[in-house]
Amino acid sequence: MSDTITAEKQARRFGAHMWAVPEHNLIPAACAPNQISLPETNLCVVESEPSRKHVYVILCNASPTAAAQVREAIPTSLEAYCHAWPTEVLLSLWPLSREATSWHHALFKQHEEIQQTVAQEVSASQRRVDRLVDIQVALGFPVQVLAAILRISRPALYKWLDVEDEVQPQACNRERLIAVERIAQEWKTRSSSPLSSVAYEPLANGQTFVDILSADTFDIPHIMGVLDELIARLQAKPKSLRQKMAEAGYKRRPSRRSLSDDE
Amino acid sequence: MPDSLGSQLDGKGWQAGAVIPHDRIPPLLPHLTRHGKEPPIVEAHDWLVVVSQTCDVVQHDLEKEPLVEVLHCRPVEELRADYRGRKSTRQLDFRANNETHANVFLTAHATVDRYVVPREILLEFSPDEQRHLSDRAIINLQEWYALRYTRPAWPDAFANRITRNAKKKLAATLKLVPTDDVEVRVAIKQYDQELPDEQSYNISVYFVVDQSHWDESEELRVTAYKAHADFVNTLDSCPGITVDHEFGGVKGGDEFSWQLTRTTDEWNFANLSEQD
Repeated sequence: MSDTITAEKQARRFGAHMWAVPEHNLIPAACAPNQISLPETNLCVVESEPSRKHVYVILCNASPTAAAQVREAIPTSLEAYCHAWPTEVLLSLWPLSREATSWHHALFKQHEEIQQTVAQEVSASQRRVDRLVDIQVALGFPVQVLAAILRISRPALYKWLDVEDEVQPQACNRERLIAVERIAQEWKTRSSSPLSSVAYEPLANGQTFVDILSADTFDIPHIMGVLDELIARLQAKPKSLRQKMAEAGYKRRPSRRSLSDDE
Repeated sequence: MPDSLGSQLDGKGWQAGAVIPHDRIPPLLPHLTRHGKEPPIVEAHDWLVVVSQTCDVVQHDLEKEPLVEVLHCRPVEELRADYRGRKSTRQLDFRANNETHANVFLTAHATVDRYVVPREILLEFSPDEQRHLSDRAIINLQEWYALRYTRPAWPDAFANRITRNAKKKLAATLKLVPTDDVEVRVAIKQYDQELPDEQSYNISVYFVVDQSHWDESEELRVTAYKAHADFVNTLDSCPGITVDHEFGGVKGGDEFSWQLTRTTDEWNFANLSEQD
């Protein structure tokens, strides 16, 4: 509930207008900025705890007319932080009471509703971890390679992978993450095997796919073509010794140590 | 030509996991006595179980296998966290037989409750018809004894740095991993050193996934990656343990080489049991 307190303090201090936006209509919470600014206006986005089901937008020192203008400006501003901001949904922002005393009440009520469904909701940090794991599953890179591609340190990546860590990726890292996520998704539509098994092989121009992903910027159309080339390589890969032995009838035996601790 | 001793024992049904009937225990008591101690009291609900391998139990030549190992197991209400899953190499809680005795949980001490009896005594009667350890319970016991003698000797100073809370979290994480398809292996840089408190142990953690699952099962890869991250972060949070992020990770079995098996140990809570 710490964000409620923050919101209340800021609301009282600035005499803010506040809107609540159902988060599922907006952006992944991991992408939501803590603080953004619009020209000549103070705006604060506060993610709710503990489920982060809603994102509260508090607009400070704005008249109702100015508020309406800002409300229309929000999509453009937030696009800098997330490519997936749906403008038409944002227009369904709804104003709560303009009296400071009722903001807290309204926030509190929102939180009560949120808490009723919190058990079924996935927390923002959990979703951040899920997204990263999806990338790992599709690409299959070691942590040091993935960290280099994401332009972060290995310890930072492990922090991102820690569901108990509330770390929020910086804007530039978020953009990179979203781009890599898109590439991973594209690969998943092509194959259920990890991309890593062909990612280190030189392509026609001598580069490897890891080299391409390590570039400053991504040429998405080119990358899509490379993914198709990698699929062809994956399918043409010779069988491994393990596969040949399995086909000849040599099977892996179950581990005797694999009994669960419920046995 | 008369049947050999082994054939006769086999004919009576003696094998690993067989239970000695309660009314046949009194003549065995002299063999169940530790030096300078009174014989144990074996209650009717206790299980006195044959734990020698079946091939040894039914060995034809008595001189080659004159004795049979038995284990005195006592019932407990439930599997206790510290003793289930072979976490302790001294005491094991285990299920007796999920099919015939679903609610029976047994416990035994590796040495205090283990005895040897002359094999020919078993010719005088047949095993308990109502009670028999399941195949899985027998494997559990055998692996427990194997671990006791073969587990790597991790430094006490390292084991003591993994807090009780961390052990619980690690155990909870590993519960989600199908252990037949994913093996957890740990490399400890200072594996042979007892370090002072001010020095950290450097470790790398590998989750090795069966290659065919690695290639084909996204679901298993998701599980493995999530579990690896949780596992590493939990260990990294233990004071005096530093996870070396340059190494480790989730690997397919084809990539994880024989060489790496010699640089790492299979993770097992029994490796930490010196602190129990």
